[in-house]
Amino acid sequence: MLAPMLSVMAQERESATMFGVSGVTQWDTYLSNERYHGGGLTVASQISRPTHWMQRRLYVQHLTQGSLAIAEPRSDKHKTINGFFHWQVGWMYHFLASQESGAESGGWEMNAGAGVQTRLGFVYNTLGGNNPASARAAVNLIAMGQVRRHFELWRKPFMATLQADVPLTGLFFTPDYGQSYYEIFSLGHYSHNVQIVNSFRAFQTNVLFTLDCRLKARTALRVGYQGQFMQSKANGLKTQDFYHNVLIGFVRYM
Amino acid sequence: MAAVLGGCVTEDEFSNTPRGNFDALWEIVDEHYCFFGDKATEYGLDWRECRRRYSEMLLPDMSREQLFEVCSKMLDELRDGHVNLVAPFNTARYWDWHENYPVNFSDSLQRVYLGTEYRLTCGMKYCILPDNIGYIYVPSFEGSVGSGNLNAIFTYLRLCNGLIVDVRNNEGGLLTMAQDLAASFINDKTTVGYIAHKTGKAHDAFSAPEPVKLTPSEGMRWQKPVVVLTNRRTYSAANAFVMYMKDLPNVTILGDRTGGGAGMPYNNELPNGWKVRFSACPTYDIHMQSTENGIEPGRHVDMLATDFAKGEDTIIELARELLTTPEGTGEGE
Repeated sequence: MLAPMLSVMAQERESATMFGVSGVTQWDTYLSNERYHGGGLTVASQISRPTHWMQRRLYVQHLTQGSLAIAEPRSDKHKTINGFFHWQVGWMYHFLASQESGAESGGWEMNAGAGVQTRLGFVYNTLGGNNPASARAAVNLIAMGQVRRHFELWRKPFMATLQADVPLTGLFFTPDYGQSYYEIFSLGHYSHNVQIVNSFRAFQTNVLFTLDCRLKARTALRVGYQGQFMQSKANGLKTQDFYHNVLIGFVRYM
Repeated sequence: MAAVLGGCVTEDEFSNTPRGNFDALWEIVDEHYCFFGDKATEYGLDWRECRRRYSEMLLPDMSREQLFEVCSKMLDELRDGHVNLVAPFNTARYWDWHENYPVNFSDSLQRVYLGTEYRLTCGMKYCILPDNIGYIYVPSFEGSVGSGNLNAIFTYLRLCNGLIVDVRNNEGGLLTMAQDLAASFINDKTTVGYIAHKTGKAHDAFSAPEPVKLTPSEGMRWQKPVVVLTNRRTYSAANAFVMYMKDLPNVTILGDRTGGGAGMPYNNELPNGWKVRFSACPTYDIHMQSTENGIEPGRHVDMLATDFAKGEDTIIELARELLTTPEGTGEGE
């Protein structure tokens, strides 16, 4: 019964669909000096499958995610509507940390690699005016790391996974300090609107912890936590978009 | 993790107290307002001195109405119609740009000219006056106007000998609507002004002004003489419309000086939720002159009480005269 858990990543295609609720902290000095806090919903699809390269130890992972949230400042007088779409693809090499990886031995798996991440989003503030919204756009080259632990609990096979994605470099969009979107989009005026991602200007990381419990041979229940931490400091503007997502979903193994 | 990452990009928040809200307001304006240089030259505005003077009026236990009054008085020092403080119980505004001048507009008299059979598209009222002069009243640039709407208007007016575009009492709206309308009066891509923005907190940190170019309307374009009517309440986007039009051939600006408002306003908020609006992006005409304090018309004329008594709008009547005599439009010169 537990055999399918062995070296799951390297052997099987894994397709997870997850739904979640989000706790959001949003701050964008282009729109307001105040920090906004709120909640929202997110839906994500994560697909992993082995490739034929490196004795099938190299696998490719796609993560597609959409989120929508509403947040308010401490005064509760205004709102922001926050939405973003996240897509990334990465290739990770499958290491076996322990000699006998698998649920019987309480085995560990380690995977590491790199990929490309894109993010598109917006923050709309009900304050209005000529600065009612701020766009988010970024393309990053990312480093990916993953640790998996197989174990048995209540005679059921479980798998805990911790994955972190950290940008190595990339490009992101930002208006200039006092530049209007009218200048950017209606008049086509460029003013340092594309910035290079580095640890001083922008930092975006994604941490995903999941716990999978196999219900059937090819189906598992997944619960998890995802932390998405995006912040930037460029052109005299500061932004923060922190999402704490509690996730639930199903995983199909094929 | 969030705390670690959050430590990278932070800023102290002002407290939600009278002092905290006052300081937040002063700092928002200090870091983002775009006309400090002009105002210092014009009447010696010293924003730091304003902080010192008005902060002395703060009391820890003052009411919100008292705080609002102190903040409003400080904002009045900017003498800017685009500067507002909006609280649930009041809106601070500076309206001297039109309240201290003749009105030069009467909707009662306008009814005489428009009648009741006028056409109405996207808020614009238009008709053909008895001497075959087209008349369009644009009360606002809020909203949008499509090329189909403009085509309908100019098709209806196409046989007129001249056109009056009345933007009196138009206090603005969207620059894009002002541009769409102005694009019906040009035949080539035309630079009609310049725009800049702040690049940092310093009062003199600005980007190099970039041209504002209008692309001709793809629909019907007006080729005959035009008179644009203005008064002191022609403000903001309407002021920009006059700025776009004033240097075009065949166009005469007639009436009173416009109200100005050449800074595109942004919004921000205080810790207590009051909204603050301020001029953020300065615009200039094609001679790189600021129109913040208004645009002087080509022909200055005020409404006369004697004409009003006769049921005539002096400014519309002079516009009709200009458009029906070759000398008036320059065609006879």
